[in-house]
Amino acid sequence: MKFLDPEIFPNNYILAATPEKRNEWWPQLKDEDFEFKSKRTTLYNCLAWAINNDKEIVEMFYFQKKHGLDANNLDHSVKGYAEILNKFYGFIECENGDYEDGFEKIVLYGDVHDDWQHAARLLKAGLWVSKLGAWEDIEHLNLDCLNGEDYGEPKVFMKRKLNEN
Amino acid sequence: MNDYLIRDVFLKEPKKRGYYSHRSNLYGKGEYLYTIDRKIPRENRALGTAKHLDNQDYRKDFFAFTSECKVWTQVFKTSTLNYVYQKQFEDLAAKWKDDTGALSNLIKITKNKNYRLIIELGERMLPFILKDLEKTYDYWFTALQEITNKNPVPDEDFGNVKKMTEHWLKWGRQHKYVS
Repeated sequence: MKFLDPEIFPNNYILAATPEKRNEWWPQLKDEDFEFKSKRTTLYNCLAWAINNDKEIVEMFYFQKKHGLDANNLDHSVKGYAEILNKFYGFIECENGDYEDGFEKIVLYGDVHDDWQHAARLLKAGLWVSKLGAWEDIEHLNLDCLNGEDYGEPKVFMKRKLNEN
Repeated sequence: MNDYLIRDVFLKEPKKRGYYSHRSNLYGKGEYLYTIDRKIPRENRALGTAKHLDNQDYRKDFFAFTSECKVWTQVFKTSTLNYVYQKQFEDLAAKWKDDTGALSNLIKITKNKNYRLIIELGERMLPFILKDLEKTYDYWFTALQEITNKNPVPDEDFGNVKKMTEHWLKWGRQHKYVS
């Protein structure tokens, strides 16, 4: 994979996800397994990117405001996120991250407490896209490369038919 | 000798033990801090004349000068404090961004100890937070809301960082935290 596409990143671009930070956050993320796809931005986050929204930060407080959820009764677990994605965005849980024609697939990562931490989208067979918090977007070849203390591990796979919502 | 000696004396308040004017023999111990001698032409010394009133301006100037000194002392203190606050903010903000840069979970992002310290520093951090928000669009909204106890962002704009920033900057301008 190309590491830094010169059409996206100018020569003087300084990575937010430096090698030291990558090693600290995701020890399993090897240079040959991923490619940077966008510059650093805080205008959207991983879950927004997973559901094809690059204009907003999408997470539980967003759902609460947008869908009128009870602020005192928010479920921040992976299961809580899966329920909302099912109810308001048409995603249904599925068994794995294998490519299925006519469907888009996402995966939700949860930590040891089962709290939601990250989301990625399946771009094509064996290729996932992830927005690394406020840092750059990457395309990566497997899901386990982002496992760690902060993101946890892939917990729930979901899919929805293309061109819905 | 045509000139008439005027000695302007200015009361020192409050009195302090051992703090005497060098004119203490004439005016009493510790009662006066400042004495200024000046010569006034004899013809201008009469009370109630226009010239006499001019002389009083001299005293006003002196007080204006001391007031200005006080103002500049305050300005110096304020700018020094502002510098200290700015450095505090920059240090904590850099650590926060370093600790949470790759996170998307807002609870984790806003529970970070450096973020909480900035919130604890309170209102003095607002100008720096708003400036950084305008520049970076980093997630300062929770800090702003907790410090000010206000939320100028309508629910329909929540999540749209640019719009949220606009609302907060507008609020900041209205309350003179940013220009």
